[in-house]
Amino acid sequence: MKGSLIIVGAFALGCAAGVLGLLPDWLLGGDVTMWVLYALMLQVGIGIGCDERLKEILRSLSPRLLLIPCATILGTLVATFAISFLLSRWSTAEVLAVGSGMGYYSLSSILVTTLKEPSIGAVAAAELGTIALIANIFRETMTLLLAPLMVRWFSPLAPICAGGATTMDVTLPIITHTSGRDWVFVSILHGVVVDFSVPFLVPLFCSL
Amino acid sequence: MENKLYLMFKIIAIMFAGIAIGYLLRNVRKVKVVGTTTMITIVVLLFVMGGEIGNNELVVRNLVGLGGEALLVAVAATLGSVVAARIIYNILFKAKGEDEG
Repeated sequence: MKGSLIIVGAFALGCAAGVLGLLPDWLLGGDVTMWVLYALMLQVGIGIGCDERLKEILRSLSPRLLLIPCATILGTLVATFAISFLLSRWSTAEVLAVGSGMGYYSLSSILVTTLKEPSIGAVAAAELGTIALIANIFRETMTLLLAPLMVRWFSPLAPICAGGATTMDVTLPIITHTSGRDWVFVSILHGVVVDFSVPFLVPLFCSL
Repeated sequence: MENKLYLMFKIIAIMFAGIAIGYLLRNVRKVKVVGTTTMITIVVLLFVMGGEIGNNELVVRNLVGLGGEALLVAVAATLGSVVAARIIYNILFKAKGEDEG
């Protein structure tokens, strides 16, 4: 529990510093994040490599694990469909388009903004695109911050499904940390499959 | 974003390089500190990511108006997927009485 408090604290401090403009530009260009992520992945790899159970973990991989990304997509769409009735400003399909971003905020917000423009106009499309951006940033952030609780309440698969399209990169370190190293290859497989669903599902719901 | 595919492969390649290094060094006792350094790096990463979000004017400016709707969708999507995770976990791992570790 101390771990997740530190994580939330670091994130909140970063947010506050960003809003107040205390951080230098070189830190925020995205390059530093990338390099830190690379460093993190190298360490995650080393951790897996020196794990005595490595062979065992690899042996446990099987095709039925593809059901996990299917569960993520289905769970996301069912819940997003249910919540769409609370968002009277937008149609059910529009809310589903936002939800099917699966945490992949850069791509989903651009897809929503450009694909919705002909049907609802530039202003509404930009608003829906911004909702897609913020909602999917929130999803990624919630996964990063709540992963320990998700594991405790919903099984080790919970941060993997919550992470959606991000589980082979941004959220992978947290997942290995909270769910355990046994799940690292499941997490990558899941991320790749869900990632590829985004360019299909978002345009589909935008066109309905 | 158009190079996300490239980024994804790069990240996975780096991890596999790490796995190779970790495997070669598996008998070196010092390599176990990697658990601690990983945690430190996660904290640094989250600080910088928080900074980027806080510095993103589009997000901060719209947080009051569109943020509520976005939060609703995000909470629903996350909740829906963790419930699905619990169900699929019970189907795949619990039913067979496997030890998932």
